[in-house]
Parts: sequence; C-alpha cells; structure tokens
Amino acid sequence: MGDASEGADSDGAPTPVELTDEQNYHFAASLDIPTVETASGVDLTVCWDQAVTDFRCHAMDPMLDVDNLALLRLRNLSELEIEERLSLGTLLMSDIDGYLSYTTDHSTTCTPLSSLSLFGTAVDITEEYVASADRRYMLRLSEGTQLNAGTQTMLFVQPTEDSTVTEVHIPAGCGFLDFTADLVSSLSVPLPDEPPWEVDWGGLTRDGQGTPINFAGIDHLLIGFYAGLTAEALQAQILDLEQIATAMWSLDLTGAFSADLSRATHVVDGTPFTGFAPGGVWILALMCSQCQNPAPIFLTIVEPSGGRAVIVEPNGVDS
Amino acid sequence: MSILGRSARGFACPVAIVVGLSACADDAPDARPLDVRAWVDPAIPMLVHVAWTTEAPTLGSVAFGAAGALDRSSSVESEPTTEHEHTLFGLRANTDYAFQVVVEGGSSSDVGTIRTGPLPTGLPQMSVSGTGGHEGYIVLPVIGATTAVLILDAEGQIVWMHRDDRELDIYRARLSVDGRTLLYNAASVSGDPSDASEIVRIALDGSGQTSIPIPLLAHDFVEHPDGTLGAIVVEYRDFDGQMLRGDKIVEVAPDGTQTTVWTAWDCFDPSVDVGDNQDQGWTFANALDYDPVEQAYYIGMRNFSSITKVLRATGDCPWVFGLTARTIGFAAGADRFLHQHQFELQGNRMLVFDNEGSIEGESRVLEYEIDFAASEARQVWSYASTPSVYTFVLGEPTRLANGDVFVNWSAAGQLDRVSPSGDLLWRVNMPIGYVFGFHTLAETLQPAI
Repeated sequence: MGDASEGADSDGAPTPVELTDEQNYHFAASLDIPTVETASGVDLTVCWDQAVTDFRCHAMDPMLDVDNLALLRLRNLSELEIEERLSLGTLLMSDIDGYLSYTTDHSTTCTPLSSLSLFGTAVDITEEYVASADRRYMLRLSEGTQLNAGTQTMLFVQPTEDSTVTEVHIPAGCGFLDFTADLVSSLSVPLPDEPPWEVDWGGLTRDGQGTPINFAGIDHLLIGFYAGLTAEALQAQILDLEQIATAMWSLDLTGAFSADLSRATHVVDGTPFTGFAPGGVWILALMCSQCQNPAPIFLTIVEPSGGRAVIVEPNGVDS
Repeated sequence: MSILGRSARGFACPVAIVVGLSACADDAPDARPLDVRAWVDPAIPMLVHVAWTTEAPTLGSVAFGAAGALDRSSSVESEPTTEHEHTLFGLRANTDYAFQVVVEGGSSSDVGTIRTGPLPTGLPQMSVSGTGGHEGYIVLPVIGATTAVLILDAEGQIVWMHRDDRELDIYRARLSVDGRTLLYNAASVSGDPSDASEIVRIALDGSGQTSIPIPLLAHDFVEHPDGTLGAIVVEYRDFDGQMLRGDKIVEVAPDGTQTTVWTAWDCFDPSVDVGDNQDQGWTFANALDYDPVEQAYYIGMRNFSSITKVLRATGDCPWVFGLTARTIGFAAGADRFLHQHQFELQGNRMLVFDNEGSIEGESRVLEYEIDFAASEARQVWSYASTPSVYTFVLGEPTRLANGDVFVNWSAAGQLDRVSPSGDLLWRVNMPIGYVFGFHTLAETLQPAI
C-alpha cells in the first residue's frame, strides 16, 4: 500500500489507493421462502397487507412501498435450488418459464391473479397457473418494476388438485434471509483525513461471496460514517448499513475502475464529502443496484490514517 | 487527446528512428506516418480511433491485435489523403491492444499500445460456456433492466454497445449494408404499439445517429441491398364495427419516402382467416425476412401460426405455410409450430423458431423440407435446449455455413450454437431481468473507408 496522501504519478496526479480482495468483507446468505398450497387453475386473490417488513427486516408499508407484484413460473428447479440461486445471485433468465406482473396503484393491497399481465398482454390465468411436476411458482413483491432488482419479499405458491385455497397473503419478509457477514477480519483501507481520496478497484477479483466481480454492475459507491460504533457492532447490524448510518455519501459510477471520493455527495442534503472524522466507524462500499443480490459487491472498513496511509492488520493491529 | 490513462500514442517514424528502429530508414519522407495518435472513444469504450498525417497523399490502414499481435487490420483507405483517421472495431473492454499504422508503399509506424475502457455500468454479466458462437460477430438487442444494442465477438464478449434511453424496447438490430452504421427498431410490442416508434441509425464509429419515425412499428425490419428499409407496422382497420389489429409492410426508400407495399388485408380475410386471438391482434406479424433475388418478403404471423411469402411488386401471397390460411401443410408425422417467431428459408429448407408448439411446453427449433409442388412440408430436424427453456416472445434460428445452427432463445436470455447432430457447442446465458432481441450475424466490423 502506498502513501495515499503523498503519492503521485509522474504527471502529479494523485496515486489511487488500490482496493484489494484482502480488504473485502465476506458474507454468506441463504433464503428460506415459505410455500403455500392453493387451488389449481383458479384466479387466486393475492394480498400483501401482511408484508410489513422486507427480507432484510426493514419496515415497509404494504400499501405505499410495494410497486410491483409478480408471478414467476420457474422450470427444472426445486424450491431449494431456486432459493440457492437467488442467494447467490445466479438465477438465469432461462430458468424463468413465465413472468406476469402487476404495477400497483398504491391504493389497495389485494388483486386477482388475472390482473397480472405479460408485459401488458392479458393471459388466461386458469391455464397458466396449474399444478405441475416440473414448474414452481413464486409471488414476488418489489420496489420498482425490474425483474432483477428491488425484491422486498417472496412466497412460493403451489397449485395442487386437492387444495381449495383461493386467497393467499404474502407474509412479511423478515426471517426468510439468513445473512452472516465478516467485516472485521479483512484488512481495512487506510485513507488520509485530507484529500486526495482516489480509490481504484480494478484489481479486485472476487465479491463478498467469493464469486467473480461483475465490474459493469458496480453503479455507485457509498461512504458511511457510524458515530460511536465499533466495527464489530456495525458487523452485527450489517443489513442496516444504510439505515443506521450517522451520515452517508453516495457517488454514481458510470463504468470506471476508480473514483475520487471527494465527488461523493451526502445522500440527504447533497453536500460534498469533506473528509474522515474520528469518533466512529467509516465504511466504503461498491454497490450494484441492478444485481439480484443487493449486498455490496465490496465492503470494507476505512481507517482514517491522519494524513498518512498505513496498513492496518485485521482486528486493528497496525503493522 | 492524451497519451495518459486510457489513451496512448504510437510512435511516428522519426521517433522510431531516434530509438533505433530501422523500418523507416529507406522510406520516402513524404510517405511516413506522422503525429500518430490513438484514443478510446468516449461513448463506446471498446472503440479505438487512430489518426495520423502524411506529408503527401497516401493510402493507409492500421494493423492491430491483442496480446501484442498485429493479426487484424482496418480497411485500407480507398482514396489517398494526408489526414488519416481509422476506427478499430471488435475490441474487448479493458484490454490492451497493439496497433501499427501501415502506409501503402511507404513505411509503418512503430507499434503502439492502448488499453480500451471499462464496460459502462448497467450491462448484464453473461455466462459463456464452450467456444465459438459465430466466426464473426453477433449483433443483437438487450431488453430489460437495460435497453441496449450489443455486438458480441465469437466468444460472446461485448465489443460494441449503445444504450437507448427512449423508454421503448428494441427487437431487431442489424448492420447496414455498407457496414458503416447499425440500424435498430425502437418500438413496443407489449400491449399497444407506440406512436413514437422509429428506426434508429447509429454510426458504428460512434460519430452520430439519426432516426426515421415510423409510428406503430412491430417486431422486425429488413434492409434491401439498395438501402431501402422494409418494416412490419401495425395497421388497424374497422371489422364488424371493431378496430381490428392487422399488419402491413412499410418501405422507407433511401430518400426517406415511406410506402406501404403490403397489408394483411390484401391476402387474408378476418372473417375467414380468423387466427386464434383476434381480441389481442388478428395477424400479429412478428418476423420479417427479404429475398432480393425473389423480390419477395417472408412474414411470420404469430396468431396465424403461419408464415407467408409476399411478392414485393404486387403484394400477392403465393403461399402460406403453417396453420391459418395455409396453402402448404405439414406432412404426416411432422411436428407443427405454434405462435412461432423468426424463421429462415434457404432453398426449400425452412428453420422455424417454435415458441409454443411442443406439448412439453418448451420452445424449440424445427426444420422443414418444403415440397412446393406438393404443398407439403416434411420435418427434417429439430432442436430443444437442455435444460429445456420456454421463450414466450421472439426467438430466432440461423443455419451457419458449416451446417451448425445458431439459436437465439431471446426471452429466455440464452444463445446456443449446436451441431447438426444436436450437440451443444457454445452457450451464453443472461441473468434474470435481461433478454435478447432478434440477432443478425456479421462477418466483419471493419467497413470500407
């Protein structure tokens, strides 16, 4: 690691601080989505009035916060395999056997399945939602209307010939996701208190789950400050990074491998990022808003180095 | 223009001589490439532009390649000039390339290197298995979380891209006949068609774009050898007091004149040729090909589950193959297609992308040998994906020169190359949320200069 405060190339431009795999957090995620059996070949009534938390246990208003209800039909996969692929972010478009959606009007929390359409084209739901040995059905609530991102909660529905259930309630999502992360064992990133704060992630190879980095997916960067927290305490609340931050700055990215942190702006008041201060924990995260898995691709503790970059070993032991 | 960061500067001959290279020592001074500059295109980071000057008018080209090789070349200029600028195509993002200016009858520059830029954000991360989807390039739209046109190389890597933000979908993209531009349709076939639809022409070198407004564009369009465009356009007509959704073919001449050359109403009668879903659309044409030798269009109609030949000059339909209004039927034992999309007729062989004909509920490709005299089609080949996939919209098969078949599963986000015996040779998969439009295959991306 070079001296981030003083390093410069031959043109005088600041030498970027190179982010490394060793600085990235590690996480493991698994989903356990409940299943409800229903009648087959009927126009179910689907309600989401009980969806008061998303799968990250964040509170949500079923009426106001749900933008889209979708019915996904998947083929060749068991429910367990679907959960695994969702957790890993590896669900393929070819796994989807059918996709119907309904854009909510934020005035109701129930709708008949027949109100869902295939990109605006009505379908005969009594033919499309039927008992099948090799197909699985999943109801999905989302913020936004994209299929790949914004998932709030999910429910498997299984049409069977024996069931007489014609109304389903998508439950609150809290408890579906088992997410464990290790933020404190990784090397932290030393950054000076004062600019320049140019960081370069072009050398990363793996995301927090150990899968190859999708560089084109990295579309924004977050800097977070957590006053009075330790890294361990932050790790314990890792699903709430954006909710519990004392202050957070964001920077939209357009495909580069590096960024100047001084261009980040406060997510609330839009003021530019002016530097690291003592009294809490700082994080730096590379985010992918269009990825299936909303977890940061890269997440690390920033170690303000007081104007001179130093290498900080795991658990805060300076070398 | 900078020699720093993502740009680079090659060494002109005078510099090369200084550093001891002898390539230019015997060249006429006025044929030397001077002031060689290279830079990454700011909008399409997989494009590299190389410019140089010569004291006298000369013809030149640029040799280039990855990993230090100079195994590819831009086209040699057709007219001598002193100001030269070439664009290098087919490059992958974030990759180092060597390049060298070559002057016909003169000298070469020293070899320079340049790194292409990173992929813009928002493009899907495709998974690729096997090698060699196509010997050339694959031109196709991506629809979903991002709407864009991509060009993939033989290994499925993105070598060109253009994002479209006009809130319409793109269903077909193709290189223009002169190879200089890329054409695509910005339209909507989900629900009602769009009044704001248009065919967009964008310079392959990223230098600009124009568009031709054509309201109610449907899925597909073609370009004739003379540059005339032919497009499927939705056409509403009154039928029994209701507005019925049919289709027509609209041509756009090179001078911009738009002419209707065929309508479904010329060949079919909605009271006789009913189709299977008039509420949503009568013919619902969704695929278009053109044969310049026959001067004929071939148009697929989803709700007829039929494909018809259309004579450009008269609008007549000499044959219809499929279900509704058919004049060519299926031989005994042949699988029938249902709600098909793209197809390919070569001689008397027709590949058809069958979206919904299989009783297993999977999409597939069927190939028929058509006996036009007997008005009968015999099935000669079929292919289904393993694992099986269902493509609810779009889908296209293309027979390659060596007999392999390139299959675009479109809405299933999958591309396959399969051998005639059905062995999978190469596959691309998209993550959930992204699908492919129709494809075209291109042998080269280096247009004549």
